[in-house]
Amino acid sequence: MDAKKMKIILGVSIAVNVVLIVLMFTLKSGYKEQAQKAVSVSTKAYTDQVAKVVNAQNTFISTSNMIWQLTFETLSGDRSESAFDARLAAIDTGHQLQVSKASGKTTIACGAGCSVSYQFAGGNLVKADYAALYSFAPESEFSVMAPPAFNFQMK
Amino acid sequence: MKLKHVLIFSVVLNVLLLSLVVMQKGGYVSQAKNAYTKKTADYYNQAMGIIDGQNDVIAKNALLWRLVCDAEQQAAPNSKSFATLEKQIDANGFFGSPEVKTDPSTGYLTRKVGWNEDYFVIASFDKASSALKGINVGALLGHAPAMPADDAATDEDTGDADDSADAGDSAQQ
Repeated sequence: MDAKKMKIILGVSIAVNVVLIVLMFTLKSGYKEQAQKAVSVSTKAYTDQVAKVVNAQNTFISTSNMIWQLTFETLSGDRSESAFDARLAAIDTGHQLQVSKASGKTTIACGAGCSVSYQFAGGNLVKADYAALYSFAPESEFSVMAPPAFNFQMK
Repeated sequence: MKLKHVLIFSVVLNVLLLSLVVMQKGGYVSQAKNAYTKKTADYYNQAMGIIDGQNDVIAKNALLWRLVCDAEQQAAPNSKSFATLEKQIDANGFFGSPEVKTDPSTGYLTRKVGWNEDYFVIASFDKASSALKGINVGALLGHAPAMPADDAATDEDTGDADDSADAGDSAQQ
């Protein structure tokens, strides 16, 4: 190979090297940004899902504590409907409980498919049904899945 | 000759740089995967600990709440019927041994039932008639009452059906 050809090839090679170096740094910046964003988005999606379960569990704890307190105080104290209503108002100050009343029966929701009821007759409690509350299986309602596999395609 | 060496070096560098450009993509994907796996695994483990712990509290406290509510629903609740209820409700044996003492301020026999140091109820019974006089559920509501200090506790009737006959009699005298 003569010197002239060698010089031409060397020039092309050096130019390619420069282009590759520039390309490498440009891509590096883009890849880093994409990777950080993908990690951030995927991690947040998962932590949001877990936080939702924790929040639902906390809400249940708060709700069920109020219902248990109401039930216990009703059974151990004045069993009149007026006393029950006063007690309910005193316990549920933040109006968190979902209360419904129909034909002498007060029903309070304690979760999906879970409700506690108080049957009154002649202004007095005749039956408190809290079976759904003690039968509630928290482990089947509040659980988190393991993190899904990381699915990331670099562009 | 010198030019030839520079050319070879430059071509080798071409190949190296091209390899780096191709490989760095895979490197970032791998780093991202590792970062995600570590972060989410840590979060999962922490959340699992919290959620499982809370589920345990919910389930076991429900037993205590059921105990006190069922006791209050009984026609004439007393220390024996309370102890019987305890056994019926706590079929899996989560409750520890009940702590029975005399409350010096009231003279009532108190029975502390719980599944750990933080969550318990204290039922009070009249010593003479064994009738239930009240149940303190403060610990379940976050304000735990103090158990009366009485070192005679071990001599008192625990209300359990399998207690010794002597101990059972002593509570009813």
